[in-house]
Amino acid sequence: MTRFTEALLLVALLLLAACSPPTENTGLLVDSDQCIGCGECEKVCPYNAIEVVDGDAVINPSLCRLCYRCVEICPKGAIY
Amino acid sequence: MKIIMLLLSGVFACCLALGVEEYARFTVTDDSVSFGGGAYLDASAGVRLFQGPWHFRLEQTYRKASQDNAALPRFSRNRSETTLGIRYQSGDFTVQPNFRFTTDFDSVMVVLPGSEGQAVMESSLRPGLRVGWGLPGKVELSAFGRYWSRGVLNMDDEDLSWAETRAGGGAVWYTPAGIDLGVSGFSHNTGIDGIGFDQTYRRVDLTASVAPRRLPTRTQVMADLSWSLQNGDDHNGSPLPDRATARLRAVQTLARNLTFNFTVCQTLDFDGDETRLAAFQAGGRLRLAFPGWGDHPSSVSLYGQGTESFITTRFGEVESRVGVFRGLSVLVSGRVWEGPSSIPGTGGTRRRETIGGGLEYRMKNGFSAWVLIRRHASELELTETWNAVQGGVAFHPAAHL
Repeated sequence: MTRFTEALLLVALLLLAACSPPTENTGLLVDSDQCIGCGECEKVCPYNAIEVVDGDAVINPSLCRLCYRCVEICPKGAIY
Repeated sequence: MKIIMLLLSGVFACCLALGVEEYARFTVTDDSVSFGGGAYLDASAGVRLFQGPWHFRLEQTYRKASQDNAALPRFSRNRSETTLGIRYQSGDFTVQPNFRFTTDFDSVMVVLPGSEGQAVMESSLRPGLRVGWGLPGKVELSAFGRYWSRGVLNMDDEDLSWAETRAGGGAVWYTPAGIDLGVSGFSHNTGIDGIGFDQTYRRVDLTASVAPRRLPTRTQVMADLSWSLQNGDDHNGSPLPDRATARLRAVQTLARNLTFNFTVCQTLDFDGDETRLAAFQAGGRLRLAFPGWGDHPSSVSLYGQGTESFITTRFGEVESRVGVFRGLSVLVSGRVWEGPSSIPGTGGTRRRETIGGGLEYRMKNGFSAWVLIRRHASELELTETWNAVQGGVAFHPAAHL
């Protein structure tokens, strides 16, 4: 590992340490690398807040109320 | 529906000598080994026609969930979904109109935004259009528009006029230095006239990704950095924060048939003067592929992942398919998942474990059938265990002209 990479990692860690912890304001995220577009999340959402568009699940943050049903049902662990 | 699609594909193929590709799949998933309550039926069929610059796709899916005597109380929509997609490509120019229609059965209840109570979801129409254009110098432009018209009725059977629109576009430049730079954005409006709800969510993403070329043999690394400017409110009415995401993916080929890939991702939120950790994810997969003893290739895959945001999830699984004789394969799957729970009485989080095995038979004409029996364990009010069966048939013949 070069000195530049080490320095970069150190700066990144210091920056992360200075951040405050996560809150609900973040909402849920979809990892599009892992999402297979199966639509299971869409079928369990009672708020019409998630839908598969062009092969990826997309969350509408103004409708999502964090019930976590999509997190539980996702077969790939792509929503967190 | 399947018969209609097959007839349509046959007529088109005879008249115009199109390329045709079709599939059908039927799956039953049950909460018990003897077919009974808690069963899910999933059926899907589709056809793709293609000739020259034209590509036509029609898909139909159907889901029926029965909750009587289910081991786990779950919410799932019973629905039918029809998707039609067309793609026309001329040189670097692509036009993709698409259309989706869903019908919900059994008076599915949806929760309205705000404190407006519940309503009955009946159907949804979603027409859309996407246009792409490749420019000299490895630049790609795209634009899209989509409209949702949802048939949602209140308790007095009055239509609430729920409509959504989303429009946006973007550009990507594949620079000669090996760094891909992108900018994209969209605006999404949700309007429900019946309850006076109108909200717009806008986002602009700036992205850069790089895949270094000078790396040790059999190693691939890709790094992404994105900055998202968000404008809109969440369900509590709080403004959405701007967001930075850094992701690193690496693939190491350990041996000719053994690969390991690893992903790590950190998201930060910028909420006014506060910089906040948003979500962290790390996962790794080890995959062994080998010829096996049957007609079809075999593989064993191990995956583990952890995420940390305001919720925590842990997920590990093993999946294997080993060919044993001609088209017959032995399936083994195991899964451990821990995370937030929507099941009442579980205290907000639960852990569930699933392990099982089964058989699959694939024929050379594209027909396959499988059955899996799994043992489930889940933390509910008490930890409960039950056996479940899943079986299905599928038909995926090769494309023919």
